[in-house]
Amino acid sequence: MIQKPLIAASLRPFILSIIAEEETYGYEIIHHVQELTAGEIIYTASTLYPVLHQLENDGLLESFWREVEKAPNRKYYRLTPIGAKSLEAEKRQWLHVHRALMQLWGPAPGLSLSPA
Amino acid sequence: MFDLELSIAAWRRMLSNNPALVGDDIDELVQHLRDQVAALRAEGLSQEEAFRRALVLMGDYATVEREYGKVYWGKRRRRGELVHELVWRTAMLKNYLKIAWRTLFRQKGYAFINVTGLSVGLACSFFILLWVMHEVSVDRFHERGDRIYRVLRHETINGEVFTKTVTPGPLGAALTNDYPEIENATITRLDQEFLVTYDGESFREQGNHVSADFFDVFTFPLLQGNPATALQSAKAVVISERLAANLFGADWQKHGVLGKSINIDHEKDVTITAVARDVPDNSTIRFDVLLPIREFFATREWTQQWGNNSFPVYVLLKEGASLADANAKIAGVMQQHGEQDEAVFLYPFEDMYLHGRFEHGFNTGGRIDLVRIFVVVAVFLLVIASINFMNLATARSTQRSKEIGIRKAIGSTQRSLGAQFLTETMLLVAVAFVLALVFVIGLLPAFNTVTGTNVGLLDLSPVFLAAMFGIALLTGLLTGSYPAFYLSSFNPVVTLRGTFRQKPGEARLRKGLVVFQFALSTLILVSTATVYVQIRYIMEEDLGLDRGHLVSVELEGGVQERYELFRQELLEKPGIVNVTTCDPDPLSINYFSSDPSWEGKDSDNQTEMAIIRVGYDFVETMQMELIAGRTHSRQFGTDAGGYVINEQMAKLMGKEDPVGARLTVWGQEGPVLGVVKDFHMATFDTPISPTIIVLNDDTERVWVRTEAGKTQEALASLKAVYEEFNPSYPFSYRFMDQEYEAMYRSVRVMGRLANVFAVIATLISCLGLFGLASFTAARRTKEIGVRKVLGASVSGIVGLLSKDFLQLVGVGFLIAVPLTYFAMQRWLDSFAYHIELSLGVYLLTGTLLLVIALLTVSCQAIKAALADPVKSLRYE
Repeated sequence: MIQKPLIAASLRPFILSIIAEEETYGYEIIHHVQELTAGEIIYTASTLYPVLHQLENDGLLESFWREVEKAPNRKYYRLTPIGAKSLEAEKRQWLHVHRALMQLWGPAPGLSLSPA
Repeated sequence: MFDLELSIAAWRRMLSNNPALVGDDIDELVQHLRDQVAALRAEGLSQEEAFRRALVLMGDYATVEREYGKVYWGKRRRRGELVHELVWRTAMLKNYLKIAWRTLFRQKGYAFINVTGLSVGLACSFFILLWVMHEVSVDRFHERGDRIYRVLRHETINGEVFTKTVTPGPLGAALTNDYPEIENATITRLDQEFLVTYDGESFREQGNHVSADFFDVFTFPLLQGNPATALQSAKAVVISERLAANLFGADWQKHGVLGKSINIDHEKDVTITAVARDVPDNSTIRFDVLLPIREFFATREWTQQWGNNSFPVYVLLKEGASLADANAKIAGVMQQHGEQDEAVFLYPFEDMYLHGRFEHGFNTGGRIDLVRIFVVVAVFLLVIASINFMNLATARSTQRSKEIGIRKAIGSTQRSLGAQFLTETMLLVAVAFVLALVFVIGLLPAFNTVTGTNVGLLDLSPVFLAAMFGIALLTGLLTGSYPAFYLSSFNPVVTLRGTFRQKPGEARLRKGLVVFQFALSTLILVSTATVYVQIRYIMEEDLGLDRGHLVSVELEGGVQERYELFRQELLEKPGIVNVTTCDPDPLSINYFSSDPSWEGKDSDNQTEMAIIRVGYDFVETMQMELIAGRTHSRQFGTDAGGYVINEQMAKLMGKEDPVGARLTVWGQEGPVLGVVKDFHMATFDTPISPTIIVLNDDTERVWVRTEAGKTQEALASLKAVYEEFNPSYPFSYRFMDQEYEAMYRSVRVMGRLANVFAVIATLISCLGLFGLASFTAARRTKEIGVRKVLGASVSGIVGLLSKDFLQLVGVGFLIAVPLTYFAMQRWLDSFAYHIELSLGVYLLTGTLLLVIALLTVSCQAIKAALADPVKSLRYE
């Protein structure tokens, strides 16, 4: 069980990173994170979408509707240059903390250090 | 049969009710739901199972509302949809208003009580605001106002410091010449009355002698003439536009009035050098005639003596000069001229009106205290009215609990319910505000009469209106938000199940508020009663002279020249008892000096003694009580140099039997002829000074004692004889008791206002009590029905219902008693002579309050008690 604060704190970096790889939509983001964390973190719609909208308000994301076959239009998000910069900043912070913690904990068997 | 599309459509409809979700948010969520359902079906769930599970995975509704709400405005702004937003909200507002109107209409009684209470409270605060604004504006219109100072004088007598507002004649010139910080100083006298004659018509006008630089210091614009030179020449006179119209007709501006000659006091001809705009209402300096004070000084040596303090002086400080420096420098100016124990200082002129009281040499406020009291009263009244409001609103919550439950069940959010209730409140406030405005406009003339001001409708400046509106708005929001919040937070399950009970905390709060209301009402009521009794005491207390049936006319012209003859003729007429002269009025003596001396007087003794100049028959006409010796008598020629003194003076001289003792006044030594009982010579807050009565020709008014019951005849006699001796003077007279009452005008105004506010406070509190009582009675109908069936009497039930409320009133009363005692004692202490606070006042007020409360509550109680138990117990 991953604690709530950690789930909340990782929400933004997850969103920005996933969208940075490829423009995508809400449901897909939830699904992606679920896979990455092996089911440990499952966001609900009511948690995710407001954050997406806030990021859009702040100018880090751009949204657009795309026509999809077999489905009515779907709302997609892509990263803006501001968003990219913000992501870099997030990355730096997380990795800094990560490196510090790793010095204390040392490499452990079974723990994957590289991104999936 | 489960239909996915129908279910999704239903879910979409529910979402669209949520105000936090904007257009395509819903599409996004619905699409998400579909994706979720598809994924679940792929795992093997049926359509229905997938749908339900997907809903759960979406997250709970409250979170949706909350989180979406956070980003709402940002979204709207980003999309430039603010206008759209406002339009929508306006539509919602219209909806709220419509429902609010209908709701209130259905509850006419409750709405009426609330609106009345609030509008009365608002109207009172508006009036008070109006008055306060007027008071604060007094004397604050002069251009150089921030540099104008009044010269005040600390006088130390036997260790005590008295602060006086009059100074010696030569002081003004000394200040201007010797002190560079002082740019200008203008000297005036205390307000005078002049007889102005032109073309055979005479008018008595208020006016003054002032120095030539009067207009350099004060801002009184001249419609015609040059302020720099208007008072230069010896024969100059400045008149007001009103006087110009009286003298020369309404079209005086067309004729040239400058240079015209008018006559003052049948003595002097002067030339008009300027016409001034009428002095505004809010000026303490008033005049219709201005004469150069140099002329007044010219023939009177005593005005140039440093020991004679009769003249107000106003100083204009140079720009940039420091007040502290100036004060430090001028402090000793009187001592330099031989007057020890006198220190002079400058006090801001604009502050004199409100902050002009000095005690023991320190400024201790003044009229500002009254202003503050009234602001407090205004706040009290608003608080009382607001408490009513909140109490009634929350008390009704049981009636509305079912309505609220149903609304919530069909989808109303707490926020929109709260908005609905707040709208109802604001509607009531709006109606109350309009009513209050109507009160203010309608009662403005009465307000002017009671307070002696002259506020016109046009004076209701935009600032004032904005302030009133702001007060109403603030009151509405503050009082409305608690009930709105409270009502909208009801749990629908509880209310609809019918098990809704008010929390005990609410009842306690409501009770506390009622107690508070009645404590305030008690405060106001007891204060009113005390003020009333004190005023009656002042008006009726023995002054030491009989002031009824005393009439005075000006000693001038033929009456003055042939006074003895005038007196003889007058005495022969019906209704006249006695005649004397005096300078000017025994009830407002303003001549004090510490010079008079006697054998054995301690040379350090600087006590100020009052000196009255009178003619023969003074003590008899005034009907003062002679307790030793005799008064000035025509039979003894030497009496002209003798003196009559009062008890205080005898005490000062240290003589048990002062008759015969030698006394020196103004350099004249003479015997003390007699002693009179102490008499009041000024308002009741001044202690009686040692007084010397001197026989002297230089008096100003003739005083006539008339026979009781024959006042009209006496007046006719007086007029006839007066006109015989002074054919060219308009006959005008004054009654002493009228003048006496006029001195207390401000206290009496306060008394009247206190009455009004007491009634209003009680009225509002009772309105609230009435409302509360009716709702309590309504709530307990079943209980009352049961009691009646079990045999309770009507009076028993009335007692039961009333007991609780009366207890609250009693507690409120008891809390207020010590507070009122403290406050009233302080006020009474400001009078040198006052009544003692008695238990009677409190008992009377307490009983009155209890009786009124009882009447209010019992109306409702009786109605409830008489209700048919069959009806009340029927299952509803």
